[in-house]
Amino acid sequence: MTPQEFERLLKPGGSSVMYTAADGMRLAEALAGLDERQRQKLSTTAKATWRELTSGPYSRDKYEFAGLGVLGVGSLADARKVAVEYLSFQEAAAIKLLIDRRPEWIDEWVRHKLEDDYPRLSWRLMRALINAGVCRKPETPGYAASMSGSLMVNFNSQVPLSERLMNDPDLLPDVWRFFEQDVCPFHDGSEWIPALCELSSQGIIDRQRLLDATLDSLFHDVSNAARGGYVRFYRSLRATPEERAARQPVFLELLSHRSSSVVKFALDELTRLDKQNSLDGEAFLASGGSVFALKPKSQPVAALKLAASVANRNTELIPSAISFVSEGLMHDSADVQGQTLSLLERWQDRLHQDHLVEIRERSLGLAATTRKQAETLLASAGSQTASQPNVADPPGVDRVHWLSLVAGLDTHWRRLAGVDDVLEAIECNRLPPPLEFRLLDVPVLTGTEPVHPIQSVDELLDATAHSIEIVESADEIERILDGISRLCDQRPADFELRAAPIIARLEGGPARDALRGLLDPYWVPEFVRRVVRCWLTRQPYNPVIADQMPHSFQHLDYIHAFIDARAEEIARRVQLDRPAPMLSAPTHQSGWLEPCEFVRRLKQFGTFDEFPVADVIQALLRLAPDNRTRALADARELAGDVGRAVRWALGGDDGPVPEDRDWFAVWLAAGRARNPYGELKELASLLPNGDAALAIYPAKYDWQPVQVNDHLTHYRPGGAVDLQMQVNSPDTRSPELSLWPTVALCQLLHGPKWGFTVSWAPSWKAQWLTSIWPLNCESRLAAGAAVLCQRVNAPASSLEPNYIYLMPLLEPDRPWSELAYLACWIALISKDADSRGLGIDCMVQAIDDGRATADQAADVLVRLLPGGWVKLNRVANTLEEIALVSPHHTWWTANLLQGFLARLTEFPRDGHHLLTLLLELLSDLGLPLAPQTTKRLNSIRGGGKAAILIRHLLKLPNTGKSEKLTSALQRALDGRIARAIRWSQPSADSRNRTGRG
Amino acid sequence: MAATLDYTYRYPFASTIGVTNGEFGLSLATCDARHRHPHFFSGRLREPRVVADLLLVLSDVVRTHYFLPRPANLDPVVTSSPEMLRFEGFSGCCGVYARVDLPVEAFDCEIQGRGSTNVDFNGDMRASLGRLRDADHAKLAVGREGIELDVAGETVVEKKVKLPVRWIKGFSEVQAYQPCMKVRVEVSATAARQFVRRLPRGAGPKRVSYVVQNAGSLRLTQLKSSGAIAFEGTNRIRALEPLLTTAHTLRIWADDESGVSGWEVLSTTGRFFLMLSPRLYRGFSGEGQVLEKLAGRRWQEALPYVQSHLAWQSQIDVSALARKIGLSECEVHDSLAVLGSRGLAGFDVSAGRYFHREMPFDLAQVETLQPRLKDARRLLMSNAASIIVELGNGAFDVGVAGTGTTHHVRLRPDGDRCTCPWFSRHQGQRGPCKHVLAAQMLVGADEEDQI
Repeated sequence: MTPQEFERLLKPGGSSVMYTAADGMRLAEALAGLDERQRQKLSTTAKATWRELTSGPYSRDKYEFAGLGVLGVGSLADARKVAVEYLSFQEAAAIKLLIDRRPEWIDEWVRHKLEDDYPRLSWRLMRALINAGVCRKPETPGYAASMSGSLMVNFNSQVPLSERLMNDPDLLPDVWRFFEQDVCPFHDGSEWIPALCELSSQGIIDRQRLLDATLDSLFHDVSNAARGGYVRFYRSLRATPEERAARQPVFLELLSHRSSSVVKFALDELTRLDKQNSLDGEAFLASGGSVFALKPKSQPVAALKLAASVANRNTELIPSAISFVSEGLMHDSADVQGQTLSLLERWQDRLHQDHLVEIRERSLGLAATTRKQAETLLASAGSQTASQPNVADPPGVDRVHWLSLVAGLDTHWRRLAGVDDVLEAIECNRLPPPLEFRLLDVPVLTGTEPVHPIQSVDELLDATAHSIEIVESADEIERILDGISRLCDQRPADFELRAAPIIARLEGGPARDALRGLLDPYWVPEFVRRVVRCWLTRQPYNPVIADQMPHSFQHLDYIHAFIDARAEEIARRVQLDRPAPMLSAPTHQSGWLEPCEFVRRLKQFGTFDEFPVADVIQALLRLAPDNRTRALADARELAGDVGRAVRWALGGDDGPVPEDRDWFAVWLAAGRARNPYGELKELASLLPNGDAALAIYPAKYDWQPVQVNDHLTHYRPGGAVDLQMQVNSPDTRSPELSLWPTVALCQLLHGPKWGFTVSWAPSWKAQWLTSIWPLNCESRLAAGAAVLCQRVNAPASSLEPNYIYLMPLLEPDRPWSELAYLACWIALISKDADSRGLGIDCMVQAIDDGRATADQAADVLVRLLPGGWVKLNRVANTLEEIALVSPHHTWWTANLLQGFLARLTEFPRDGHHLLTLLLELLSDLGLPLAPQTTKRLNSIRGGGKAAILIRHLLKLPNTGKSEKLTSALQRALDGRIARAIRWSQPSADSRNRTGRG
Repeated sequence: MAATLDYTYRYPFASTIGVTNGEFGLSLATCDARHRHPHFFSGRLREPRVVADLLLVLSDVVRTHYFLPRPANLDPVVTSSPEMLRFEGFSGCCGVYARVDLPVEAFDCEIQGRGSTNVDFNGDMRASLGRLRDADHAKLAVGREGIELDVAGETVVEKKVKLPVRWIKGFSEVQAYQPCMKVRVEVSATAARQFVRRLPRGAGPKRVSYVVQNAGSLRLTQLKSSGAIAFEGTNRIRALEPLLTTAHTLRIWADDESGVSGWEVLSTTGRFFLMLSPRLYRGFSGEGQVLEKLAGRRWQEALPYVQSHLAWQSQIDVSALARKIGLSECEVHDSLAVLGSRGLAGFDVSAGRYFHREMPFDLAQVETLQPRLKDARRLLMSNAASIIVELGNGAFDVGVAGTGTTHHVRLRPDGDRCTCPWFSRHQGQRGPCKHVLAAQMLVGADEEDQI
């Protein structure tokens, strides 16, 4: 056959024809008589036709037919590329073709097709080749995997699998591969299970070998799903009592398996053996101890029951049973510990001194609810329980020390820090009330780390080079802008040498590595890059905006325009070689600006013709509450409109006048600096237009959870839950917003909710937005609550660093608003480990320093419940971690839970998780239920776990003042004294700062 | 440079648990770099279950890639000395180093053999390890006496693997971190178990987490604080869970500078040491901790003397060795660090000393596996570096040619800097860049010329 003839065979009607099975068979017949040399001559044509037929839109018939040509004449390398896992049209032709050809590479080809996790070779094709003696039966697990899947799929036949296997006896030995090669076909509903059971019952397959092989497979390194399959199959075999008894040693070995599901299976079988009186009790007690190392509690509980049964049957085994069950005291579950102690109580008269020593040692780690039981047991057995040393908690209250510390405190700060509240709480033995203060009333800089300005051009070049690769924080960008602003006139001798590589990277553009550092086109406003380039190159600054932001980010436009305006002001100075400090450069982290430093910078600006408006606005919004009175005095000499606005911002009496209308943006910022949360009535006369009214009213947020099954939500990403967040500021497109950042920040809430939105911003970007107005970060918390919802049921992601929205809550002087609790709760119930972890840290810190209010936290949690997506087991797990931190946290958490339960109108189905935790916490503290909670729990009717727990809770006694409570109060007092001392100390202000231009 | 090397483990038999020569126990097959099959040891285990757990967890680490679903098929390395058997392994992702130390007290006889070799860890053996119990009178044999491939009479086990170059580099590089680590936390195994069980599932947080000691317990936090130990990848820590039921203590070692941490589980029978790279997605291989030492010259004369005194010591006393061969302790230290980077020495943090072992691979040219060092030498060879200015007190400005630009390297006593993207990104945390190395070599050579 010539290549031309072959080509005509491959393309009988041109390349647009539909290829049928008959075409394939014709091709196979035509090639049948060719030897390998003749075939080799045709391989180029086959490959060319393959390329032609498979290019363009995918068409299965062409693909299969072209593959047939390659299989017929191609080499091993060519044949490897042909997909043969499923052939719709040409299977018969492929079989004929390969049987006729008998290529010497066939075994290698088959092995290659089977070596992946999923076999890529049609089962029927492979079996036909094996049956025809063309290839050997492959040894790889892929063969068993293919057999497992393919034999079950038989749409054209009603013949059961067992019959099909009997019809092809060559397959029967292959069944053992399922056990030897860890290919488990026994998923739920698998046809293999009844088939093998049937064959074993007929004696066609060795039943005993089947039982042994199944058990042996459980020891192999297979997935949990596969282990479940083997267990399922073993159970389907319905082992007889004799068969079960014969395998008792294997079940005992399985008790030390790492998989809890396998141990459960072994315990079930051993329990059956016990019921049929065939359990070797001594062997069980000698080998079952490792069950207690498992994390779940059902296996240890089953082991305890079995031990009790063994000991009941043979009382001589009680000493061994005591040693065995004592291991249960090491388990983390209070249930397991409790049942262990009940058994030990039952065998109390057989307890040996060694047992008591062992129990005493283990009682150290017991849960609070079982500790009393252990003490009673040991006491009645003539031994004492071990005391629980707590390194962190001092043994008692040092009242003298406290009082001397308190007496030395400034009265104002002492009152504001709630020290007296704690002293009163100590007298009444109750948890102190939460701390209440306004952000504007306290010196926040005393608890905030300073930001050190860049000192030299050397440092500035290094910082810039680094930020092109990675932006470490929002402060870093501000430091660089400030550095350029102050040091732009300095050009050391080696400046060009050092700047050249940085310019090369800046101008290389973001094409290769778009989303990094300052080159990131989405998150870094364009003018920030331009000001850096302008400083490095001295080339003229281009003030024209070229690109628009993508639609998803258009709500960022006004904020970016504001930042661009600031950058442009700096760029103008750079071009004029006129260094000056950046007015808004933060002196402290989170964007705070020390007021006296601000005034000092303004005075430096006195020599300039005009003030940079955007910079002034930004600086005003960053003014810290500290030292405002002193700054106001310093600002007395500041001239002009800016001077008046600054003085008003700092608390001065002279507000705006109608002539200030042109300066509305500056006065708005000044108003928001002195009154971040209220209505700015003084600005009403300045309003430039009707829309502007929204700027002078405070933003108000309203939220409610959206139900999981709400069909109105058309699209929701996997793992997300929905929260409806509304703000009273309407979605507007007013150009003035670019100088009204307080309003523009609220506008971000109107952006798209799902998909590639601002929630994908890097962590520093969210920090930067928060640092625009640190006096009021409600808009950021509202955005955070919505963003955190995106990963409530999804693991952490580097692309969505949602945890960053919680960072303001870690600032020790930021009071917690409702939105703060909301964001924190969403993080706490999230599967996103980053958000959950930081949520726990926020809550731990806020409890410690008194900012967290159990009642308000309970209110927000109750409001979240109607969404149906708050899982109370997650709440319980998270609160348990918080409670473990200290007795103070334990007490607070107990109060929160009680508050939550008392507020419930309907008891949730998974509420028992919280009751279990509450019981543990109150037992630990020695406290009874609060009256309101008692009343609420008394009203709950029904049975089940919750009812049992409620009965236990209602019986809790009040043990009076416990060491734990004292320790908790001491920690609370220490925290508040530390706060009062900190507030009374002057902050490190700008006067000590150096390096200013 | 190829990313992987084709390597074949050739064992005379498959490691197994069962009856061998009339005795029940674990029989490990060995295979060294030259495909010899040394026999190191055969003795009864005092606590078979504990040893089985230690080896299983080691095997878990070696077979795991901690951030991609790519199971590795690499075997651990065992080093035998009269005082101790050490099994070492390295995860498939090259970010976790694990070592099991079994002192002679773990056995009822003395350890005779000296040397290092691969040991076969196969699936069947792992399955059998899980079945060992303390009540079993089991022995451990590392190799078989007099066994050769042609006379073993059993099926030869060949495992062809792709040995990632970064795996070999990381295995060596990891030793460079350990001398800087200090023990920071010590808690009971019960507290450690509770901590590990409370860790988030999966890889956990994507950012750096911290562990802090809170009274006698451990707590995970996302906040950096004084005394907090940084780590990433909670799934890497969870590997330890099976050991914490039978162990008595957990010690955490750390070095804040590099960000590595070492988790040491102590049991009555032996120790398990798990060392984590600073980041989950960053193995040890690219860290370049020893590059400066390799680029320097202090060790070059001392190295042959130090190497000639290695005799499979389980602990190398640097002071004694320095006295013995008449070198300074610094020279011996540097030489051992370089030997560590060549796979010829390991470091035991508990003892605070190096030990001698030889990685059973051909590591004669490990230095050539250091691309930055190789690139730096290439830059020097092509005269791509020149001193711009000498500022005195060891400070130099050097220009080194880069891609389309010339990088400005500043060599300063308080830290060297470069304008290249790599240095800008990592700020020296992953060792010096090739430009800094080239500048250092250039300046070092000039100084020697002047002398």
